[in-house]
Amino acid sequence: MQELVGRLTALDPEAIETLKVISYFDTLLAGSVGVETLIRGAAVLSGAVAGHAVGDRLLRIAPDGERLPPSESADAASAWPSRPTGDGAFVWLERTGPAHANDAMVLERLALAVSVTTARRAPAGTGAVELAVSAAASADERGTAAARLRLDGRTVRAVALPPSAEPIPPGPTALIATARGLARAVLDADGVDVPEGVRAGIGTAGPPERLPESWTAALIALRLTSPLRPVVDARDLGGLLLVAEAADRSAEPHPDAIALERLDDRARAVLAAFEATGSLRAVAARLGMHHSTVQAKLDGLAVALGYDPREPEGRTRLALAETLAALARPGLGAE
Amino acid sequence: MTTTTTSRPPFDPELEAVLGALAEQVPPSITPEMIPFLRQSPIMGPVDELLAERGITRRDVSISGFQGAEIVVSVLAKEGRVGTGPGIYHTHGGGMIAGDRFAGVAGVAGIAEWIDRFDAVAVTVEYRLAPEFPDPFPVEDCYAGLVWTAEHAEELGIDPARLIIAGASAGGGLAAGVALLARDRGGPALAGQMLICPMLDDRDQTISTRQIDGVGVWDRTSNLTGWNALLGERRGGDDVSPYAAPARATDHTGLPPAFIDCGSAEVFRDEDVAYATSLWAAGVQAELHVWPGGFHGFDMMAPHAAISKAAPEARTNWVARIFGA
Repeated sequence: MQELVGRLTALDPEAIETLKVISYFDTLLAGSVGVETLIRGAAVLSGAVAGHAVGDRLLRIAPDGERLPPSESADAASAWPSRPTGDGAFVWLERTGPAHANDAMVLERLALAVSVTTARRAPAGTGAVELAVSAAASADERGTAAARLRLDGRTVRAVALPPSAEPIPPGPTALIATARGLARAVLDADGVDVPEGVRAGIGTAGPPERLPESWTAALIALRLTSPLRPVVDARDLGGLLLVAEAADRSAEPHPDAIALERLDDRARAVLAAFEATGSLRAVAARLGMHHSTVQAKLDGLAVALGYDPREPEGRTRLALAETLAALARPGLGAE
Repeated sequence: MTTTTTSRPPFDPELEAVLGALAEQVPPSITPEMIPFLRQSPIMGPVDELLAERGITRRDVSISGFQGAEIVVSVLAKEGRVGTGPGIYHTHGGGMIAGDRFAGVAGVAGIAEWIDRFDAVAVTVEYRLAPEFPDPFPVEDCYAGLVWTAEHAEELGIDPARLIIAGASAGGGLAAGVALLARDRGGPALAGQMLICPMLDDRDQTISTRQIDGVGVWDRTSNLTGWNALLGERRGGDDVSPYAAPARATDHTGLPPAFIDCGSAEVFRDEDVAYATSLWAAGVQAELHVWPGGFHGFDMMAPHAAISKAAPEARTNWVARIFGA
């Protein structure tokens, strides 16, 4: 069978989609690989030589995974398309000829992944944010981390942002590899506002020792953000937080979420408008439809969903299904 | 998050990343309807180019296969080669249902490198495939090719004392079966058997087959597709010879030294480890590598990965020792 695979495939840098680039680096991060493996990943995904410079230490890897002799100098290396990875270090791609569609994405995700890996491996003191929110760390480790971050004794909440969010709200921050991909954590003790245009999930407030729960809630909140609702505060989710945790324990999406995802865009628009307004006439006005058309559409939807969104119980069930459907999508919420 | 899957060793992160990126192109489960698709991709063009790049010439010879039918073998050697040297008899992979004699020859893990490095002559056989030609066609065609190779060793420039058999996947199973046949029929002596992630056991009873079900590469379903094509209703029953499914062998004495490798996250893991154990128990020399987190054929699918560099190196190293190079 081995040969079949070799024949069917070869990673084709021209054919790899953006999402695959993201999940490629997320998988490597989840596996706690080293910087060299990350560089190798970038070379394979781009089909170009990739490199990493830390001071005068230069690493170059070819698309076939072989190490190449270092370039002449960091200056020469930085002439290629490059991105910083912290403390003056940077990564680059040696693309000759026109850039490929994914070059920028490969470079961005490589830089993020190298930053996270470097921070994880740095001497104690630099990984404090990751420790403070980690449920895997011991209470002692978390306490020490919180003290180093000068958060001890304060009420604090974790804020989750997409990894490339700009500008980053003030507060101790780090990129963190989660089961659903990279996210930026900001620890907030001062009640700062999330900047305009930044998508964010805000975790529950509490003492620093409860930061892991706050971080979990922040990630759930981030997954429930949407273009219409870019900031979700876990405090406003109420019992939905419990529902979300239960939903994540199940391997399969809930049938109500599946039923909702099967609907076409038009039907989804009618439902969304009805949820927002609660009246047939308002839906008709908002979507420019006749109210009898809306009526017929909702009759059909009641059949497709198996419950009537116009009934009080149906409305609750629909709202819950919307949440479950959002949670069932991969990653950390729609951009 | 999942609750129903049997736990299995995790994939190596670098391999898992590739698996994710290629998920749509490489379904874990191959079903019988997919056999025509697996066979359709043309392979001759690029192979000739790849051989030419390495300065390897190819000569096709028609020989007599099982029951006297005509089959083709290709003789591969460095251009302008003279004298006598080691020989490699190759049985290709493809789940018993697909692939051709060039599969695995020119790839990264292929034997082209050994032709080059050891000035060896390789003979690779176009055995007939299941389900059109079920057992014993494949293994008997392969055996016929070995007999032809040994009989023509002098003319081919092969030192008969340094002839090995090599194959990957189904080709590894066929290589092991041919080695058993050669022993039992007093056929050609083999200096070694290189069994690369070999497909040895039709019974579908191991822990590893339960672990690799719907994940990875060449999963339990695929494996049943291959064995059912080869053995039909005999699969898993009492009427299967050790030449078809070498895991069925009960006598391992007098077999050639073996190299066996596999990944820890593939269906063939347990049968491959068991085969090595049986060889040792019978006093046969064997080298076994279980690459952690490897799925089936990982070094072909993700040749850049760190463990994909290590696996072929270990093979070449063994070949060098067997050839006394």
